[in-house]
Amino acid sequence: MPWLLLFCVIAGFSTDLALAGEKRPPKPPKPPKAERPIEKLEKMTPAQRQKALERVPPERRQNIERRLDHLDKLSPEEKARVARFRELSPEKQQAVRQAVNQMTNLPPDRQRSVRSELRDMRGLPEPERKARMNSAEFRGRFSPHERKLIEKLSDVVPD
Amino acid sequence: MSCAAKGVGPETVVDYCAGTLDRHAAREFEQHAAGCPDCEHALARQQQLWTLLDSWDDVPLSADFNRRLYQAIEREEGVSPVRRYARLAAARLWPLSWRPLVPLGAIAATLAIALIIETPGPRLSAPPPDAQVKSEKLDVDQVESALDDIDLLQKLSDASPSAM
Repeated sequence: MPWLLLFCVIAGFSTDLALAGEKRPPKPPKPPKAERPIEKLEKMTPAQRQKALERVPPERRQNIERRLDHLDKLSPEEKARVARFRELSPEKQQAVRQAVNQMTNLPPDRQRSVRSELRDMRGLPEPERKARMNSAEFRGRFSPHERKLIEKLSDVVPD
Repeated sequence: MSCAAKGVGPETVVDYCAGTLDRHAAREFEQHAAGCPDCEHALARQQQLWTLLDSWDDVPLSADFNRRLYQAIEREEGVSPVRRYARLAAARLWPLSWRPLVPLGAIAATLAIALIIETPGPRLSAPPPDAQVKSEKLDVDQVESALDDIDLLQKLSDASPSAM
């Protein structure tokens, strides 16, 4: 039994010595979130994209490549909107999808009014946006349905 | 003891010395031994033996003395004479026991294992970027879903076709 105790103590001590004596590389910082496939593709060079998509059926691959090219050409504001959308929870993303689809069902002039309102909200801090949506002027300009749409869509309005 | 008297024998001498004879028998034996040189001699020797036994002091023994004694006897009986002599010769030639080598070997093995586990080898290094691209399986459905979302969000843009 004393040998067993001595062995355990020395084993632990020697392991500590081995760990302390070794110059271990610092752990790399963990990424905040796992990168989505679309984000990986965005960061790739055209050659890397081609390599990543080489097993996709040709027609489907060309469609993806075309849309990726279009994504590269988005304006900074549109890219910021996409970035905000990606930060949302899955539930809120689904709410935004529904709101966009419902907005496209509005008459064209009402669509323009909603877009105009969303554009005016850009750069406003969250409290000011809420105050604006609670104002009597806002309530007078939009129907309850439109106000709900704008409230949901304000989640993807760039700061 | 070669006393021919009736009813007197070695056991009589032993019983007398032990004090187990009754008073009458003890007196008869004393009277007989006083006139019988043979019994007198036997009585003297028996009394001397009892005196020696009374003066004997017990030697203190360890608690596991008997167990170790019997184990030693069994070992000696089970070991062949050749091996017994070889063991004795080795003990004389090699004063160090092999037992201290056991923990030393265990320590050396532990150190070796610790170094092997904690030493970063080439297997821990990150693969080159091209290899990552090649090895990862792209979720095409997820990519297309994300692209659909981007197309959808573009409808919020002033430049979208429906905004015109």
